[in-house]
Amino acid sequence: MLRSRIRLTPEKLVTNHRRFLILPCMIQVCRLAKRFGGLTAVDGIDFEIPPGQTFGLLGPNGAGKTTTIHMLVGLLRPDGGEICIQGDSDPTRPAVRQHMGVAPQALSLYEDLTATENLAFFARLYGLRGRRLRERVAIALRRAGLFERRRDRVKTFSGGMKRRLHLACALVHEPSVLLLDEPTIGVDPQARHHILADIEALKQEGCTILFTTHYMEEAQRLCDRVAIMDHGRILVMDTVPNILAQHGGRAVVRAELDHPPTDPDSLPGHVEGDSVIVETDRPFEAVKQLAAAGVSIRNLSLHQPDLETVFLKLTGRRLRD
Amino acid sequence: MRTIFIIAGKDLLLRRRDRLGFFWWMVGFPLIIAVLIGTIFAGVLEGPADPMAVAVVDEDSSASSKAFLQTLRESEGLLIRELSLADARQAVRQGRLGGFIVLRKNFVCSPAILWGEPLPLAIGMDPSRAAESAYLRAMVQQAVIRHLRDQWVVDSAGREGVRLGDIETIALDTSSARPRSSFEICFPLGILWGLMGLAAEFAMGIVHEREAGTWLRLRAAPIRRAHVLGGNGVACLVACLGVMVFLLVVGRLFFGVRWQSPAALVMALPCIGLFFVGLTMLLSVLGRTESSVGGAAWACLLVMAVLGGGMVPQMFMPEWINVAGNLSPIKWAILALEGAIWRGFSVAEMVRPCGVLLAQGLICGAAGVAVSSRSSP
Repeated sequence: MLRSRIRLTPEKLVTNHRRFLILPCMIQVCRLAKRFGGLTAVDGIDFEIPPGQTFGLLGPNGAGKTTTIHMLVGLLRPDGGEICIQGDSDPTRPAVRQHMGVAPQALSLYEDLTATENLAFFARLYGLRGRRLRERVAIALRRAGLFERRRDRVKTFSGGMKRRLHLACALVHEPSVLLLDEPTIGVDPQARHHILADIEALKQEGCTILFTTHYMEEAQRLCDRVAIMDHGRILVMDTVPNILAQHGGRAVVRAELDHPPTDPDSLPGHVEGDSVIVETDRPFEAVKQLAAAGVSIRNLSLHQPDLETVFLKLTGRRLRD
Repeated sequence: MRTIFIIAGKDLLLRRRDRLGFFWWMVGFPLIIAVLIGTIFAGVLEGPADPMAVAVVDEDSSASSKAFLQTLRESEGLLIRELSLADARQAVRQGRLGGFIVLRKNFVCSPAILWGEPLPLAIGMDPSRAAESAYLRAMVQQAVIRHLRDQWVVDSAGREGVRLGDIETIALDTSSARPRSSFEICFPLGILWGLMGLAAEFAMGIVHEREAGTWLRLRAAPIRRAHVLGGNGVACLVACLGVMVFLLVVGRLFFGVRWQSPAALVMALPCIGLFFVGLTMLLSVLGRTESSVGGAAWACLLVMAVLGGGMVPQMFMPEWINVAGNLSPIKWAILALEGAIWRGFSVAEMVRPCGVLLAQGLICGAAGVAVSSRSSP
């Protein structure tokens, strides 16, 4: 049981996210469950996130990702199971949340305050004041690329700028654990790139990050490990390469020929019209075999298995509300 | 406490940024209410400034009727115009005159009227002006008595044989027991309207925070729910005190509203402010969206205002509403303000309205916080 583990105060465990003392895991979740009436939103999930690791929680709408994050920050009380954050099992205690940064899915900004005022307000709630407050606000503004617009009210910002400021508000107090609930939702590719680069930089600095997303390429790019959730359960959890190896299936080589093959049996894979389709673990070998068979190839495509393939395979293609 | 003040500072800054809402609810609207109602009730409170204009139709045209007409003309409360019956009816119907008096044919003002003989005159009035009808009737009866005295009590040599006794008048210093002007009644009303608008605004602000998602970030910060609610409450209290002090200063400087009992005022303002803080907490849980809370809040506030004399001063309302108004905190808030402004309440007299307000505020606040704790993370 997690409760029987060594209990240390967050101050003893972490003084700065760059300097970890002794800590097996920053976040541990054991048989966590949450029900809303007859609906089981989270159904006994387990995972651990070691210090400095980036963990992706993937899943379709209603999978239970946001509910999990809300329980991790103490906004919801679990109906079952245990949560242990930096050695403390009660995230409803304010002291536990002191070293956590949270960016909820919905934009959580005061539109009638300026960027600086928003950052300063949230930083003050985490105990920052005086010179350190001003320094951290300036760093967060620069990091979000909003220093030039720091005196403008948030309601004048574009969606991407708001999303960057939203993330900056979660970082302003220099947390050691960062929980991001779909941080790139609804932004243009430039803003998305900026946010992802920001998260990568945080990862390099040793921040422990848990983030949820719908975008598989983000998870593939950022996460050391991912868990795919559906209906409140974790379906699979591992590193991305391992998940692809276990659930991704084989690569598909598709060669469109100038003429239908005269001897299909001599070709690898199977023939569909004037195309040859080869499912293989060694796609380049398949291409070589096609070339050696002397067919004239008009077009060649290679589809490598990716996380999205795995995601759809595990969660299905049915639309979710 | 630092966290509470940080959140309160943010709330007040947000209110200040909403300039239109801020100035309308906190300054413009209450001031308009105070000045408008104060002006409307100025005449009622201070008595008619001008004599009542009435027509007299002399159907007799005798020496006796002319003598009585002269007595009427000498009455300070009446302004007499002699007209025909048709013209008098038309003038009253059109609202140009308050009423008319018809002196019947064979007009004689004899002492027999003291034994029940009908007066040889009639009064015509607009039926919608009942109060003025009573006033005119009294003025005519006064003129009849005076006319009788002149006719029968004073002899031909001008000596008074019999004299009607005067009624002794006891001089009272009413300056401390009654309002000096209608503005002293209507500024408390204006203040209460400002506070009601402010409570609705803050209640909607709390719901907006929950809808906008900032509530989640606040709750995810290392602070307790009590800090967030405390911050909202402190901001509301500061805004309430600001509105009250501002309107009292404007009332004093420009409308002659007194602060007769400063100690009572010091008691009244925080108690009223604290009641509205509690009320705001309760109003904020009356709906799930900003618009539903806004609608529900105003519905509750209007009922409280009607019962508590917040729409029309209680002195002009029927007795049963005054009794029912004891349930309305608006009544006690107005009483506390009036106690400090013109009723000259002592500190001991202020304990009752202030105690009721604090108790009602506590009940509202506790109910609001309890519902909020159950319905939101």
